[in-house]
Amino acid sequence: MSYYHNLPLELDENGRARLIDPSGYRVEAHQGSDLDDIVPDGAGELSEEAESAEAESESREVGEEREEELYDINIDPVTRVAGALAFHAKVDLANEQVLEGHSQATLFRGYEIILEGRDPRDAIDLSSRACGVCGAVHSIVSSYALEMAFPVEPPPLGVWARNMGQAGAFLYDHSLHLFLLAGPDYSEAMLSKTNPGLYDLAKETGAPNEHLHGYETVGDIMDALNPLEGELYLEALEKTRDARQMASLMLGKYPHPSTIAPGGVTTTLSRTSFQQFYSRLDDFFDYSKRVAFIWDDLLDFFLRELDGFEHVGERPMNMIGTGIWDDPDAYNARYEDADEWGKARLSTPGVIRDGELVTTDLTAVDVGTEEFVDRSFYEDWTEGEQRFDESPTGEPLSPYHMWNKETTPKPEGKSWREKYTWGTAPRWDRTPMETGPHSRHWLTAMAEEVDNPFIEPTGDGLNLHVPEAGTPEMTLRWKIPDRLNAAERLRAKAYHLAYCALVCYTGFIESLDLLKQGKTDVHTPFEVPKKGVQRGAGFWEAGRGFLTHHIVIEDGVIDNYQILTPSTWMASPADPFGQPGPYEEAARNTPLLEDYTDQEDFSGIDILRGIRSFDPCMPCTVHLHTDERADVITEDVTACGCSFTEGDQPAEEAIRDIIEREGEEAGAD
Amino acid sequence: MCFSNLPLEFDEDGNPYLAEEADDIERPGEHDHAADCGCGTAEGDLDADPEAAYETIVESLPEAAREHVAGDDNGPATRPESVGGD
Repeated sequence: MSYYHNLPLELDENGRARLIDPSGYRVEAHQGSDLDDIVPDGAGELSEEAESAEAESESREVGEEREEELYDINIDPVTRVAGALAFHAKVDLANEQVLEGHSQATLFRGYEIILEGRDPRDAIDLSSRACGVCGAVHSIVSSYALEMAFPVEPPPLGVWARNMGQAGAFLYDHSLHLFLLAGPDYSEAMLSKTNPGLYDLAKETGAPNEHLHGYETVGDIMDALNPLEGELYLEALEKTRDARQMASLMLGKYPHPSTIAPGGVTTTLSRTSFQQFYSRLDDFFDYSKRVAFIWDDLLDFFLRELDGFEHVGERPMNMIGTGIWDDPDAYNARYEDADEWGKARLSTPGVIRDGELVTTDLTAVDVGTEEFVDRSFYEDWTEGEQRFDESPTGEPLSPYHMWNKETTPKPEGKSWREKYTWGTAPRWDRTPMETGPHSRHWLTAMAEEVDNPFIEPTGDGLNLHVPEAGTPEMTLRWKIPDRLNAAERLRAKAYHLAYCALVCYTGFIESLDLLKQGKTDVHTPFEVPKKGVQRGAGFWEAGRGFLTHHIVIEDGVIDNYQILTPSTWMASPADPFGQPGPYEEAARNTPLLEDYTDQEDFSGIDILRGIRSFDPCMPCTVHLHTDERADVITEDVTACGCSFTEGDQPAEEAIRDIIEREGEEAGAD
Repeated sequence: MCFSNLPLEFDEDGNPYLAEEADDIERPGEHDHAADCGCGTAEGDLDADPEAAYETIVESLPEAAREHVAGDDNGPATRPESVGGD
């Protein structure tokens, strides 16, 4: 018996994987070296060889493309805090189709190399800098990896402080994405340009949940989503501040908390920490209820009125998660017990393939994961001797597993058919997976492992019992959707605000119970081993989902450190088996639904909605370029203030104009 | 010493080494500076009297939350009708 379809593994009577065929891990390098697909690198440079081949083929290709109305679309940057992300697509405007998509991480991060040879404790603070939006997840997951390696087990209040701080950080992260990053794609400012008829219809369509969120029509919601001036945009700004304060109360500061350590936290918690935490949480009970109903009304309208919207960003239902938010009664930092403490988490780990729950074992999530670099600017490392044949539970490890991976950068020219990214291609059982709040919901709902008075999985969905605050106690019902697309990623995220608030509330109640018992320790002392080889793995989740850090310590220093982020999964390039990464696949499945007449007024909003639904961490702006090779036309299709620019007006100037205009209007009032 | 607080000195090549005074340096945690300046009053009150802290926090909560904190199962006393989603 085995749920592995592609790895050479079967399961024994205890459900542990065992190797069927050692040669089954072998991967044949993909065959593809067409020079005509080579494009300039980020600096616009081509190698001489590529330039020559490019010149021979260019006129013929462009001529053919024009006949078929094919255009290259380069979205660059689709910025991430951890490095720039760009996206290239080939679109057929006549047939309203995306023909190709390529996801490209344009910067090398290199944390793995920075950490090599250092004191293991440095990993927490250094790896934290991998992301400024998810500025606590990396330090926490790093502390998990060290806890396993040392080993050390945190006290219960230390576990809850981490849980509460992280759930607070997610309240910030998800509010940010819903209203500041993705929300503007559904705003009046955007729709009046890309789908004006749809906006007109929305203004005449009543919002079914008006009595719960206060917006009379769907068009009013779109108005409120307008960047910089919309009510929902501005409210979310306030909420992101409140949520970061919640995270800071538990973790000392945010981002990059300096109180995270193996064995818990070093935060000095006081009664005011808890009081201030609750006062902000109370507001989030109300806010999370409103947010769920706002997005329900908005997304249901799009799905009902915009033909084909259900295919925007659509992918097979393949999801993976490491789970998050530990139960201190179960968590002991031991890999051997990871399946038990994983299932006890407030968000269940696991894998869903084609909509079916495959496993909830954290060790299976780990053992089945590999990273490939065929299309990436790295050297393959598998020619040498494999460092670890087995996991700590004796299960086989692939040479492509993170404990065996080595990071050796190899920069070279970019080719869509060869190497084109600094990202890698993670796969579970050699299948592309996506992850995020939606996978947390999906896995927790299907697994029915969570036993919590406020978060109730039902097999086909979740009941989220949100307490009374300014509004009455209410149960939000999130149902597993029939398909996985941009709309359902965003809907799950909207409901996930309530989920995170309930994790905070659970932690708050559990923490008070510990105080009542006099259990105030938040940290367990530890020692760094000075001799021998130790390894550890941190399994946690970022706002965007799956997150692992794998560490190997040798004689007291880091010998290997590997970070695998959710964006690495989703922004991955094609793999050696010819499968595109999730962004790439979602873009290819996306129909072009905007109103356009030619390339000049084509914005690419549907592609952007598809990619942005994954939350690719865009702090400010996305510019979309349409180009025919050398001539690049830049159009603003931005997610925030830049969409207010007129012509070449800088964003700062546009923002200043808006503020001045608002000041004048206020004065007139 | 070159530094006011750190027990470090430098040799003629500019390389740092531990000063003789290192053994006399007050280590972090040996003295409660926060208490000296009066700002440590609120901090650490959990350790001093966790039960009193518990009572203070609970008293500051709205009634519904107090019930959850004090309840046997920590859950809502009654489940409301489902009103969202689906």
